[in-house]
Amino acid sequence: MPKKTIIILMGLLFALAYLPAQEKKDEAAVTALVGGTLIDGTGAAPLPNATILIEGERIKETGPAGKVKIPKNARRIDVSKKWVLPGFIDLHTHFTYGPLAEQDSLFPDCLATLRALCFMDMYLRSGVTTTRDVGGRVEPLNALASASAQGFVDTIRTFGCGDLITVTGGHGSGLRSSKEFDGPWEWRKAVRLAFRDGFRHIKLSPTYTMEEVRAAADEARILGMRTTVHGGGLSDTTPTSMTRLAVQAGIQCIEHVNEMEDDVLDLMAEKGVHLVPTLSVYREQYRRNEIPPSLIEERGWTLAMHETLFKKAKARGITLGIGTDVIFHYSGMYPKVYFEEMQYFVDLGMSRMEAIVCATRSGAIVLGVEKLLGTVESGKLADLQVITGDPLVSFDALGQPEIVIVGGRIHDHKKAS
Amino acid sequence: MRKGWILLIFLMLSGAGLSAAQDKTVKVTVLRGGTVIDGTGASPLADAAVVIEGETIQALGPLKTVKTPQGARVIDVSGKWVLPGFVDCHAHITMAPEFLQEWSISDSLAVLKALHFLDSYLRCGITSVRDAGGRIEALQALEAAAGMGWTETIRVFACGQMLTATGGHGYGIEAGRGCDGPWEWRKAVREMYRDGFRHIKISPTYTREEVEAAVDEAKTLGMRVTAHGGGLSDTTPTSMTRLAVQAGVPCIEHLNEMEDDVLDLIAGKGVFLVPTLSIYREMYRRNGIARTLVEDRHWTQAMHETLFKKARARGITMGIGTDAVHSYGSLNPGLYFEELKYFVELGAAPMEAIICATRNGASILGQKKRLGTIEPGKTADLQVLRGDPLRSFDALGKPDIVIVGGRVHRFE
Repeated sequence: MPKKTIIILMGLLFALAYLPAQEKKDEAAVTALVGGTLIDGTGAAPLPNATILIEGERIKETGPAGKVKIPKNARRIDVSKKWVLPGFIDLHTHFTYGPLAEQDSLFPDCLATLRALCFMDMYLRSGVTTTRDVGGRVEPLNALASASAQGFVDTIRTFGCGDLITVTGGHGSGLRSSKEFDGPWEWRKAVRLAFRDGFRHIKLSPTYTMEEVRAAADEARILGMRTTVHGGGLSDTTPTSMTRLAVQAGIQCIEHVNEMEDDVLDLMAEKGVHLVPTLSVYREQYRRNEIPPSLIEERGWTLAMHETLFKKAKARGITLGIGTDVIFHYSGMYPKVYFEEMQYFVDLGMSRMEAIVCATRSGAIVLGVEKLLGTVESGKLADLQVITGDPLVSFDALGQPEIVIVGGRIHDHKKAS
Repeated sequence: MRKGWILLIFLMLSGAGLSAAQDKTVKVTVLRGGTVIDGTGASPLADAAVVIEGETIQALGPLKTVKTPQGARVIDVSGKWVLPGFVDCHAHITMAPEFLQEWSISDSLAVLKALHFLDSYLRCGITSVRDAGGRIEALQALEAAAGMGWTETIRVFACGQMLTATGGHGYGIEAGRGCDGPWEWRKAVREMYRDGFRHIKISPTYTREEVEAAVDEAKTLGMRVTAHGGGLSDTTPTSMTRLAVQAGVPCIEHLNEMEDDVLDLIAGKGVFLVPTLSIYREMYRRNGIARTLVEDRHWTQAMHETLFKKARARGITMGIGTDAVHSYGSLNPGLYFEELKYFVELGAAPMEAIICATRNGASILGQKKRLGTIEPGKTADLQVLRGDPLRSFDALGKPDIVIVGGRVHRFE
């Protein structure tokens, strides 16, 4: 297949894929959500009896019922006794992986694509409207972006990183969605390859040297790409020194929270590096006794280690986001694991409002799209959900929204059921 | 590789998958009060009840005589019409949106486009489609994903790649496979079988030895064969359809350049016919019929229409096929209903056209014991319409409810 042609095509389409809303002309130009309580994702106090005007793919205006004028021809949706929140953001998914770790490379791309779409639609029903795919197959990710731009699929947003970038034998080695590079120039090229393939995010995976991670960080900066790095822990090939290197090299985000010295956390806080703890999948791995023995026996891992680090990160004011990272035989945890992660944050000392901000505004900040997504404010893309219980009282109502809106496209799940 | 992953999928099918949020508590559904047009050609049954248990139609009859089981989910469809789900006998769901993209589109994008097509059919009440030539991996992926519950859409009966001679119709794209000589044709049929397909599409040109080899092997393996009856390309000599029918191919796609004795033979042998008239009409409109066919072989739309009438007069069993590919793809899904209307314009009664879309479609797919009509024991593929289709076909294509294998999709 002429890869170049496809890539040029994808490149063009990818620009569109960020704003995939397909406006149906027959829909009313303005939609008004009226009567609900707005929790806008900024952390501000809930606004009862709010009016939210959506025009096309964007939020036009929000405010108290009396203060927002609803155009005559607007479509009104009564959401009284309900809560309106921004769509949630999952910062750590691998939806294009195969279902089994052992045979991942045998699993065909086109089937992986359909499986990924299944997860995305599941998230759409659950109120999670954006994911960052931190390591995935190039062809399926491109196909999903392209299909979304062309209107073949109507689902949530994905910000893909393309292949995991690692070294020969590094973490992720052997997966169809990883590539191995050695030396700073190869790492630089790896970033360029991802850019060429249409991706604007980069995921690095240990091990690497300072030269290598610096080369990747530098190239990503030149190309305007955002970087994140696997902070060790899912495999015993990750020395504890890796996270420190990445932070020093200027990587913008760390995935997973484990084996971090206090001074690394200090440096993260100082440099404004973000953190995606993915605590729930660790908890499940401990439960299933599937943390590699060497991590437990030789490096003394316990769930408490992750929890303590989370608290330390929170105390330092590090921006924390929700990431799930449920893959292979853990996949059955979707979609609930997302909300379990939010609850876990609360269990470890956050207020519910803080956890909601992690799932919304912080997610958008980590993605570098805080001007477009993450909060319900005028001018932003209309990614919203309407839920039936007060999330500041309990998270039980999360995950089963009645309405989910992505880029102004309304998905009425109540009607569909 | 191909084989490897088929085995893998097989393994996975037996294991636990992500299942679509399926409501397993409701076992019995009853559609009450509608007028049933059952697809057999019988008069409509007013005030009927259709009882669906699991994926099977358990009972059908007047409201008064059919008992509603306790705990059943009752859906009131009074004032509405209940029909079998429709069957499209001729589509190419994995082909690219434009011809030139056949060489650049990935299988991953092709499956998403295909799923979009299938979902658009689901919304229109078309619940089965025969794919008359497509990409192997993409078709396999759609089948596997449906088996795993990752997708939930309509039924696909796929032929895999269409088989043709080197340089023949369909040669050179992913959806086609060139083979030369009877043994290669036989092997190609075996390959399609190995890759999981149970239907075969053959495409001109071929010799008698070749088509006979393919038909014989398909018979051995229990596969159904259909043949491209020429016409979408100027590579098709007029003699090809005759050869195919003589060789025992049980179905002919497209309707053109057929001598009367070939039609007689089709009728005599009970061969099925899928005319695909509407796509021809659109090709004439767009000036998209190959020049040599128009100039040297004097094709006109009237030729197809006349052949349709001749076929109908001979009582040949006909089905609805669309075949809108590449730049014609935007005609889907509406083209299906254009074809039904076209049949009526050319003399078929509305009920007759509905039979073409239902029972005949199932017969062509070799599924008449399972699909195509609303009868107890059959699989519950149904649609609920707001208007009387016998009065106007404008009622078609926008059902309130579509049921596929007992799974209820509500669009009202």
